[in-house]
Amino acid sequence: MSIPLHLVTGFLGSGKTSFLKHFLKSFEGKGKIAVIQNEFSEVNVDGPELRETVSYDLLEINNGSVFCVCLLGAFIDSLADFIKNKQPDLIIMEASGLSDPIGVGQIFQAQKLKGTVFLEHVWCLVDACNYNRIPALKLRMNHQLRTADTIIINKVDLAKLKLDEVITQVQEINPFARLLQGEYGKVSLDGLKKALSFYLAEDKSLGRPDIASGVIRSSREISLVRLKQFLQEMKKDCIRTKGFVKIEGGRMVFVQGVFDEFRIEEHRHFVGPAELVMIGNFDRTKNLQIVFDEYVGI
Amino acid sequence: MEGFKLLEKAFHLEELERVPWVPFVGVHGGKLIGVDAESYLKDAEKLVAGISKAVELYHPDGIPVAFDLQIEAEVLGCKLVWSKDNPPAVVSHPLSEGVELSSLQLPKETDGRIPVVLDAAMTLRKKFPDLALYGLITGPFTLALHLLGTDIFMKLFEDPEYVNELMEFCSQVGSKHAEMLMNAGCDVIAVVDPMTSQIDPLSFETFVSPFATNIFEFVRSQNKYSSFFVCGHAQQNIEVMCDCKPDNVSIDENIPLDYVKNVALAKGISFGGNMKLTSVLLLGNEMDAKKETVACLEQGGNKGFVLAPGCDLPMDTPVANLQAVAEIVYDDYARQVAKKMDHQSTLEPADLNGHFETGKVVIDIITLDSASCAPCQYMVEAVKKASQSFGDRVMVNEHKIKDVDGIRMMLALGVQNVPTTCINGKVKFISQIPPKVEIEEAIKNELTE
Repeated sequence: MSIPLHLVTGFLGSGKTSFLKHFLKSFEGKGKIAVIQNEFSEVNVDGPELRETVSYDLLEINNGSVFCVCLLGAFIDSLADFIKNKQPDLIIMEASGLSDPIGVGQIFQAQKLKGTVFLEHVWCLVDACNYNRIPALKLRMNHQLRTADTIIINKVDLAKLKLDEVITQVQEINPFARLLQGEYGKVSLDGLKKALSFYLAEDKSLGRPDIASGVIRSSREISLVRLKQFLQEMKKDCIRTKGFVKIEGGRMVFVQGVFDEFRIEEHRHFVGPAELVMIGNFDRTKNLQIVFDEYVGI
Repeated sequence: MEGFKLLEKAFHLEELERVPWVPFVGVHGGKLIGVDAESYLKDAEKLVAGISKAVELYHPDGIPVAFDLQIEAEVLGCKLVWSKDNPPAVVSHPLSEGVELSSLQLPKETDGRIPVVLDAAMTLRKKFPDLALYGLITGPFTLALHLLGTDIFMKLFEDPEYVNELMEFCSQVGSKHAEMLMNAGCDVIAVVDPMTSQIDPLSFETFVSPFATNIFEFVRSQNKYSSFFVCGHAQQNIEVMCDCKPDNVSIDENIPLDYVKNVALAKGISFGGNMKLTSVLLLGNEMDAKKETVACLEQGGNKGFVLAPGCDLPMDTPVANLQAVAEIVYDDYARQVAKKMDHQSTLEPADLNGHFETGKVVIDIITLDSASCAPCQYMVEAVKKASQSFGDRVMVNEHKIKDVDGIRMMLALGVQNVPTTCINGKVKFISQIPPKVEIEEAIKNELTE
């Protein structure tokens, strides 16, 4: 049984903790939700006010800038123990504002975690008021936006004048994500409730599929032909694929696949390494990164 | 050749017969001697024991004395939270809690854990005179972030003068710490500034370049070498990092090695990296580590390249994976074999049903190709010769890993090295060509079983 994990990213002050609270309240009573948060995050989710209204298990991690690639290894054991002891139905994790957003997905390939947890959804919060305020950090924010499944333009009540501009810019960076607008981290999660009812339904007699996820990263180019061959090979086990891949000539393509259908589109507004999230029922003996590397030609 | 001399040649961009290898052993050294991260980083004797063990196991050309970017921050008043399997984390930022920048003092040899690292460096210097010792200092921007917290990002625009003043102080701290480490015997000062990956090149040039450059100039004035470490998505800053004139830039897996190679060599600077830390070195197996090493060595080339992991090795990195890296570094033949092992992870092991026969001995030799590889040829010949006297009771098969069936057989038999001889499905002789009598003995044992 594999537990879906939702990752909440967004730069410092974008409203991640408010969103987390809103998320917890929206699903109150519908299943066992666990929260993972950096113990020293700017705003701690854990407080008497929230504890009174919602019940949840909390795993705190104290790695400073959580999910720096160097520190991921040590997180494997604590996450495996947490899952074993608490057996949540869903995990929501707040990434540190300076983190490398989906790096954490790499550790789900560890033997201890394979088949226990998978990266189901990535939320990214954007502070509509301050989006353009810190140009020095634009590259980092863009990276977080690019890896998101859903982008929440937050604090729209405070940013009425600039909102269209922010939306246009965000859509240019990631035209593929779902876009929502929020105030104080509050957005409509109705669509999500329906999607998650599968995991949170009280009748679990049918069990949940044995799903895993992998995050593939590569700074090397792969030819379009080899990329297609790789996707072709993976499709029998893959439920969903999403991400950006660098192909020959340094061009970037967006890859999106559902079961055995996938599409590849060129995306001009991005330079950087490939990041591909794959969710599916993979052979546990295989390391998806290594399989991808082999197609790259390593 | 001694490690330091090899690295020196790499820094001078000379063509090399072998690429130098620098495993960034931090708290992983604690794992090697069975102690947790906290005890390890607080004790000079343990640091020496951990690094000595790493030298014995991994045969490096250079190695850091300690990998801990919190040493200066701790001395300057940041609170740390310790962990059993990670370096400590900074959890308080004095400059955002009312402490004045002007009240902060440059560190001394006796402050905090500085003497622990200096003691370890002095002992290691005596113990390993030819090894390049890396002394790590916290890069000025990362130290500034430790001291001020994330407010620094807003201050870059709201109060650039203050940021400049803070960066000046942090670079003085860096130079002072570098001086102590060099006096203790370090050959290379690594300025580790991961948080610069957060900012764009223009901000880097304004707020980081002048201060980082000062440190590199100081190191050069002391006739020592320097390396600029960055990790994360920092491709945008490689050029401006090189412009700070370190002797080397070192990067992680997020930046293409060929890109760094082109930029660095064009500016006359050596470069290093970028083996994948988590997905390969920590979570992969020996063959994955070997293939990753081959890929890096081929991209890096023989001029100016230093093979290293992307960052501080995770504590639990399997020893066998790092030994596999060392094997590829030192052994050209092992490199050829690893290269041939194409598409291993996507293949299913061969089906061994019907492969063995009762009353007969089946010998399988896994080779690169006995026609072109000398050790493989000798192993096949030796086994065939030793089998002759047993007639048709012994069957000898060669499986070349140049083709898919050979690799599938290798997987089925659980073979890790080439050439390897298996008798009735059991691995018997690895790499070494056994004497005829030993092979005969092994066959006899199987026939009588």
